[in-house]
Amino acid sequence: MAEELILKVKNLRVKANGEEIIKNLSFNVGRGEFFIILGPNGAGKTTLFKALLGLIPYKGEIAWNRKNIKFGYLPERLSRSEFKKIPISIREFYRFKEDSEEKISKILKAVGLKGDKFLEKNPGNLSSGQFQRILIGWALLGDPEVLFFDEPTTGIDIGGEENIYSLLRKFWQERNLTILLITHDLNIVYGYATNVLCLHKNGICSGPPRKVLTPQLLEDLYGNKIKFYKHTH
Amino acid sequence: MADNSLSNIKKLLKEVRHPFIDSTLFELGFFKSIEKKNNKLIIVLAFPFENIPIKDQLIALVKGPLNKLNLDIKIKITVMNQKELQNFLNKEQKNWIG
Repeated sequence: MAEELILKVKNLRVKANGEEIIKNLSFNVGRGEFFIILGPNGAGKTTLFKALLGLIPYKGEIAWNRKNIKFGYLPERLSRSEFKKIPISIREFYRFKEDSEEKISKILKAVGLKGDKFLEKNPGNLSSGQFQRILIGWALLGDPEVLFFDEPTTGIDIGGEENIYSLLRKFWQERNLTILLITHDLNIVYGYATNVLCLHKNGICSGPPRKVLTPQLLEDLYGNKIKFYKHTH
Repeated sequence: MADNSLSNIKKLLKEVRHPFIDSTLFELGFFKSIEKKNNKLIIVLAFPFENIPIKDQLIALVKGPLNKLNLDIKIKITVMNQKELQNFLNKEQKNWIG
């Protein structure tokens, strides 16, 4: 586990639509962690992300260890079908965040999309795997130190999903990123998380996944229908 | 020569988008005032809350399109009033990119 803390959260309380979604939440994140947030729908995972970025009001303490940390976000809600409705190229999309053509070309290459031909394409016309790579590239523009990912694999096939997580892991290692990721997929948790935070109505847990994700806890989180098949290859 | 008129500056600033909300900073109410005296540009940014972690990131985004204009840029920070905050939160809820 990373020794230097990048984030400390203490007694966090967040309301949404008049209801207290997050109650007395405390946890730490070390620099360079692949930190996964797990929990059923409505547990407050996205609300937590918003509070950590200072987008919504909260009570309690959220302390990042420096003032000028650069954050990136993988936008889960942007879909290929949304892009198809608007005449925008990847170049124009990336230019919302980055003016330098050189940096745009570099990031495209880094996410495995080589060749300038991609720059003129509409993101909506790419395959689902390529589209996810474009979004990862977009999140990495500006060289963030902390990346937020909310269910980044929604709607893509399993083969593509593995590639996307391999790509995430590559950037995590190469750039010494801290990643905060929301997922429901226990295979991803066991395969990638340095630490996991579970959010649910009856409380929370945090720590290394193999230590804290007991069968009882998983049943509390997801009911008795949860099944986990550990990959052996 | 770069056009550093106030109207061009405002035009450039109106295009700056929030990194996590699918709206411009202008639509979200971040620009409280933009004043130019000779070569000096003073921008007052209103943030929704004090000490938000993305403060420096937002300031860099605001300065980005103005870099080529050779201006002496000063950014002052204030906090949104209740009405401005409500507008921000409504748009944040509607246009959150996550």
